Amino acid sequence: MNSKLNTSRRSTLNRSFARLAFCVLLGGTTAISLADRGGGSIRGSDRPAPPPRAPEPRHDDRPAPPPDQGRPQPDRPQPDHPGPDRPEPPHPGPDHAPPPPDHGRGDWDDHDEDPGHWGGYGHGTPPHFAWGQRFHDLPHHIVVFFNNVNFYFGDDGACYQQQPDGEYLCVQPPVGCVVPALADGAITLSFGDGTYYYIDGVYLVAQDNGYAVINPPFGIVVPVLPSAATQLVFKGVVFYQFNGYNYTPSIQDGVTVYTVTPIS
Amino acid sequence: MLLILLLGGTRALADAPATQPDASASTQPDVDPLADQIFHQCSDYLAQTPAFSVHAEIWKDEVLPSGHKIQVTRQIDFDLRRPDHLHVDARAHRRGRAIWYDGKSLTVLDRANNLYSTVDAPSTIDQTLDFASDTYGITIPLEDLAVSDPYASAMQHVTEGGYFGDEPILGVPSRHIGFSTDKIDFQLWVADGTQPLLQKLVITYKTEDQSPQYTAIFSKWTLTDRAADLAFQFIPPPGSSAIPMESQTPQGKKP
Repeated sequence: MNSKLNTSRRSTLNRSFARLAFCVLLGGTTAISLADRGGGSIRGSDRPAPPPRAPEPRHDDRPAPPPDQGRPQPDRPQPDHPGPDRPEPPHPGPDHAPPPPDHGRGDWDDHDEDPGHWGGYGHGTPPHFAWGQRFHDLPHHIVVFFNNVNFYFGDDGACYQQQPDGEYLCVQPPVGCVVPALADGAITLSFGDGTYYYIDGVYLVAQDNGYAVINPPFGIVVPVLPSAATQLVFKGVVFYQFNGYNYTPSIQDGVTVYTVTPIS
Repeated sequence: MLLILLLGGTRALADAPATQPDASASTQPDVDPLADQIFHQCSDYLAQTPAFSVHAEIWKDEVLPSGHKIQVTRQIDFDLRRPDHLHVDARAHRRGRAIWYDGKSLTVLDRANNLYSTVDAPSTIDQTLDFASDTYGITIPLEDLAVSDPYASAMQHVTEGGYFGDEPILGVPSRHIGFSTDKIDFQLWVADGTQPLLQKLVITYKTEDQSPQYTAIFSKWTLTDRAADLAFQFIPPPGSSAIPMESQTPQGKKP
C-alpha cells in the first residue's frame, strides 16, 4: 500500500463540550440503540430478543491508529486568493432517518426524534459530506499521500483534493487509501464475518495502520442513505444510486434500511 | 425495586390484606386484591368496547452512550375496531411511523422517507401483533390496549402488585395501581367512575441501565360501537413508494 500518513493540526482538545457531546452522539449511533424495551408494551417486555444484527463496538474499542511515522509531508500549497471560510457541513434534513436499533427489540419508532433534540446536538443523526463542493480552507485536517496524490481528510471525515486554484474539492476517497482514524459519526456494521465502518457512502475496514477505504461488500445493509444518493424509480420499484452502487430500500424491524449492490 | 418498596409502604399505610401463605405461595403473584380488581375492571371494560380511539402523549427516557438520560416525546393516535382493525400513528417532530391493519394486511409507513411496506397478515389483532413481532421485529407501542384480553396479557408475568391511592390525571379522578414483573414495573392510573379507562401508564425498564421509563398520558378517549372503515384503510401518501418488508433477521424466518 503506497500510502503515507501525516497528521496536521488535528486538535481535539480545543473542542467545546458541545462539540464533544455531538461527536459522542454521532459516533455512538450504533451504540445508542436501545435494549429490548418492547416498544412501550407490557406484553412485549418478555418477548425474547432477536439475534443481534450487528456488533456493538464503541469507538473506544476500535483498534488504535498507528503512531505518526514522521514521514515528510509535501508542502501544502496555499491558495493565492482569499475565499469564504469553509462552512459547516450541511445540516441533515428530515429525509434521512438515523440508524435503526441494531440489537434487542427496539421500539418501532425509535430514533424518530427531531435531529435538533438534546440541546441541538442531534440524536443519532448521521453526518453528511459536502460532495462536490469547494472550500477555501480546511482548518483541521490530515493529509494522506496515496498514488502520488495528496488527499486531505477534514475533521468531519470527508475527503478533499486540492484544486489548481488552491481550493479544496470534496471528493470520494480513493479505494485503498488508508486513514489513521475514523471520522466521528462512523457507523459500525457487521456483515458476513467482517466488521465495516460506514459514513455517508464511504466504507472502511480496520487494518494495522489505520482504516482502509474499500468498495462496499456486495449485499451489505446500511441504515442510512448517502446524502448525495439519487432516487430512481424503475417499473414502480424505488431505489437509490450513489457512486456506482444501488441502494435498495426495505423495512427491517420496522425501520427502513438499504441493501447495497453494484450497478449492473 | 422502587415499586417493591412502594408496595410495602403502601400496604402498611392502607393496611391491605396480605396474601395468605399456602403451599403454592412461591408461585402465586403477590398482588393486592384491590389493585387486581381495578385493573380487571379497566381491562374488561376495554376488552368489551367494540371500537375506540385514543390519543396518547408519550414521554420516553433514552440513555445515551455518554450516560445522559434524556426524555423524548411523541404523540400516538390509536384507533381500534375489534377484532380485526387497528391503526396506530406515532409522530415525532418531522418524523413518524404508522401502521394500518384491516384484517387482511399490515402496512408500515415510514413518513420520513415516504416509503411503505404491506404484507399479508393474520385475521385477528392478537395474531397480527404476535406476527409483527415474531416475524418482522415490530412491537407496536401501546399494543396492550389492542389485545382481546388486556388483563391476561399484562398479568402473565406479574409477580407483585399494589394500590397506591387516588389522584387525578389531567383532572380526571384516577386510581393508581402498579405491578411488577422480573423485567419491568408498570403503573396505571385508571379513571374512577363508570368508565374505568386508562388515564396514564408508566413502564419502568428496571433491568436496564438507569431504569428508563416510558410514560403515556391518555386523552380524547372515544368509545363507539362501530368505527368507520376509513380509519383503517391505508392510502399511500402522494409520492410515496412501496418497498419490501424483511423478516427481523437476515437469517430469520420469512412469512
